[in-house]
Amino acid sequence: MDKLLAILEEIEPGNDYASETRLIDDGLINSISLLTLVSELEDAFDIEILPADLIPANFNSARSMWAMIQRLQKES
Amino acid sequence: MKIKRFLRVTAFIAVLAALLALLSSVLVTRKVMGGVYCEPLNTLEYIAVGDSECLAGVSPMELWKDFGYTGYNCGVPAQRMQDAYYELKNILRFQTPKVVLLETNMIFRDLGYIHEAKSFVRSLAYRLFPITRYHSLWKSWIFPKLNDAAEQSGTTFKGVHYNTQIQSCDPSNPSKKSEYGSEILPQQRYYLDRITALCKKAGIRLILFTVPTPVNWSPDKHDSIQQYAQEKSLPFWDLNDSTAQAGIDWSTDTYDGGDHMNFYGAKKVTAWLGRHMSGSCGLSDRRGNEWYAFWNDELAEYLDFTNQS
Amino acid sequence: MDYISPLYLFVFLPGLLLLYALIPKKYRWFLLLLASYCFYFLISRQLIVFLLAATGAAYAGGLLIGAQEARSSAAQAAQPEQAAAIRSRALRTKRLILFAAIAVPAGLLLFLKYYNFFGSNVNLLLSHSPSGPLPALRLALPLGISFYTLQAVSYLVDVSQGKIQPDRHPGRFALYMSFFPIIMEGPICRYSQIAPALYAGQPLKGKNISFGAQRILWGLFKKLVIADRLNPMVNAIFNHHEQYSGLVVVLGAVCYAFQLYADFSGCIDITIGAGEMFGVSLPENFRQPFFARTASEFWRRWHMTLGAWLKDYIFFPVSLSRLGKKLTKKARRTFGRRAGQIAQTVLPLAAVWLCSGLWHGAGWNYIFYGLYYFVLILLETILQPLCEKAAARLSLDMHGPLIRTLQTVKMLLIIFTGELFFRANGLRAGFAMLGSVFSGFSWSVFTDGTFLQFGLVPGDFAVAGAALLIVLLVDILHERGVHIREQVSGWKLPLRWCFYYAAILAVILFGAYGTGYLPADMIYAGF
Repeated sequence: MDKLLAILEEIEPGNDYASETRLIDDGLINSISLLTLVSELEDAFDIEILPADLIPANFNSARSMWAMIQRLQKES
Repeated sequence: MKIKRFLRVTAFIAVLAALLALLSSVLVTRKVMGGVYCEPLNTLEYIAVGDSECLAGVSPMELWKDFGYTGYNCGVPAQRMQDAYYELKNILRFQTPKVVLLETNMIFRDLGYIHEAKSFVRSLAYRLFPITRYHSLWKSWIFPKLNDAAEQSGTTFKGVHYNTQIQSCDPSNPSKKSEYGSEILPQQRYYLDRITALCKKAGIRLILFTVPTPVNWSPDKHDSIQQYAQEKSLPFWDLNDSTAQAGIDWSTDTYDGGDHMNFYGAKKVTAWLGRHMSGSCGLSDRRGNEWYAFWNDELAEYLDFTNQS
Repeated sequence: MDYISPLYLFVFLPGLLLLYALIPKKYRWFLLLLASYCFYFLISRQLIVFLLAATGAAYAGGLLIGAQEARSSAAQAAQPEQAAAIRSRALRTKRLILFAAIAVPAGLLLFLKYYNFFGSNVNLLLSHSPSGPLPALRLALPLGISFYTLQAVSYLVDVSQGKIQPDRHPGRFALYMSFFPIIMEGPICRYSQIAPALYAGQPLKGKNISFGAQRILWGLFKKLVIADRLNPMVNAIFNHHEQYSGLVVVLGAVCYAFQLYADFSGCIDITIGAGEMFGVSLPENFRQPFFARTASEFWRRWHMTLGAWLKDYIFFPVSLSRLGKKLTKKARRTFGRRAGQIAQTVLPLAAVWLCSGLWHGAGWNYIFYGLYYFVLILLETILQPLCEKAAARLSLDMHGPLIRTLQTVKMLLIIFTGELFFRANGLRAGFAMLGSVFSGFSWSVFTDGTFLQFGLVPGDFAVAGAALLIVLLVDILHERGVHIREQVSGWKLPLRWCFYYAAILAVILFGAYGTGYLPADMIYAGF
């Protein structure tokens, strides 16, 4: 989780990632940053993120991202 | 609760309707309506109605010059029967003509049911609340001086569309042909019947006539109108049948290849109509009547404008 | 019969509401579907077959994809090795079905909309080829095809990604594809956004009808008072651009941008208002676009449903495709992290903006319009950190009034220039017009009566200007999160009614309709 927060802070600094729950809905992460985030996450956690995973519900908060990462790790 | 809401909605609409009616009666004066409505009350003895054929083909100032008849050309481009009926009805509030000349080309204008329904709703709104039709009246209030500069200069003399361009046509083989059928469709017949009844009730002689046009006219259309005229015992003056008699020369008398009359054609058509009306219609020659002196003033302007003086 | 004709507003819509209220809940979806097909047929006649074909293909495709999904989840019960084999086979079949099902509506769109454009360009390239030129075909573009095709594609992709369940009910799906308020100009809806509400047959509510009517009135205000009033001047300048230069062209471009905004967002208001009356909340399409700070933000505020569609169905799929990922890895290795980040967005961004340009029409000016925003957004991504650094060094507040003003000026320039090309009759005309702004600049056009040549009198300018100020005011209120209709409904009845009457009379008196005005089409219905 800390690793995730560090990545987020690096890509788009200035958001309170620990508590924010509308990162996508409120446009705090735009699509270009999201793309960078996806490739960072894929590298860091050795997972494969598919287009189907790119829904706001998976990226609106650090917690939901973490849940997705764990699910994808289990699947691969 | 439901009743209360229903009453509230009804009240809202009622107040809105009252507001529109009030605006209509206060703001929509004869001056705003323009055209034929600006003529002094009860001074016109004939009214010509129809579409652009009528508009381009009849010049009232010529009839005044040669016969002393007062009248107005109320043709409207692409006119529809229902609008023609309501327009005529409205005009009869201000004028008591002896003759209505109805150009028959508009009877065949068939734009389909959707179009008719659309224009029905529109013309209903226009009739209920004339303000909706003349809603742009505020334009003349804002910077009136600049406005006049922007207005296109174009004087109309008792309605006629004045055009002196020439694009000749071979009447046996015109470059285009109207796509409308030659049958009188139920909707158009309905409004034609209403116009007939309206004229009958007001004691007006209704005359069906055609302006010469190889583009729009066909023998089948003639037969349709002839049959209708017989049914209702109306006179039918088909100038398309008598173009030679009227002296139409297709190399000089049309501005768009036989679709519409130009000024030269309109003069001939108008003269023909004048000759035929003079015998049968009981119109009076008012040239010497001092009440109608303003017609002479306008005639002078007209002759000047059309280079006839 | 379009959305601003009295027949639609005063007969079709009220009549339909009445019928809807009278019939039992479970048949209401059928009434809406019937009304939608009637609406479509009355406008497009036999071209409805293309809508039916796209609907049928997407419906069947959804079901077949669903069947593969079921097969692959049923495989859970089997042996692990077998399950994996079944799953991968199901996955492959699913993809095949997905592409086949998308090919039908997308193929129709491509053929009907782009055949002649590509044909003529191919002919130009191969003017000496022995096989002879591709014949130009007279193709009629079915109404709304650019909108319903995207809805079909998004549905199929969502089903195949498991985001939604395939719809087994043909009626509900057909309604999603054809719902009459959205068929002409969108907004481009997602299945999950509207299909359940369309099918539910919710009872009519007084508040919904009142709010819907107000929204429609607001749309009419924008469309009739601003867009259609400016229309003759915009047409005069763009259709005879070689006669104008300098400030006249600038004014033409500015007026066109406002006209387009008023026209498109106004028609969307009428659409959303109609949906609201039936209890269907349609997605918003505009969020005060002229207040954007950056080009990419502009596209999150202007025609939002198209932007979102392109993001979800072009941008992400392209960037997360196998090729996209490979390129990403390579870019990051070659350019390092920061530059790699930018490099990896080039391909998907280019795809998005090419599609966006082409979607608007088959013409080089539209392609240019798309690429224009591609370049701008790419530049923004590259320059943004530099700007922030520069601002920090000059100790300027990035959110302060100075920067905000500069951003707005920049965006207005970008928007007006972009719309100039968008409206120009061809790319060459666009460049000619842009050039003439600088070559033929003169202040005298304000005094020599040039502006009175376009068929507009001073009153027209005054009314359009005042109406634009009202739109600006409303946009500011919206930007501040004020819900105007809610606020007004809290007023005392006399005041509230006066407000409504004033609004209705403003549209009736100041709208550009009826005698003396050429009817203006809805702009986006042509795309």
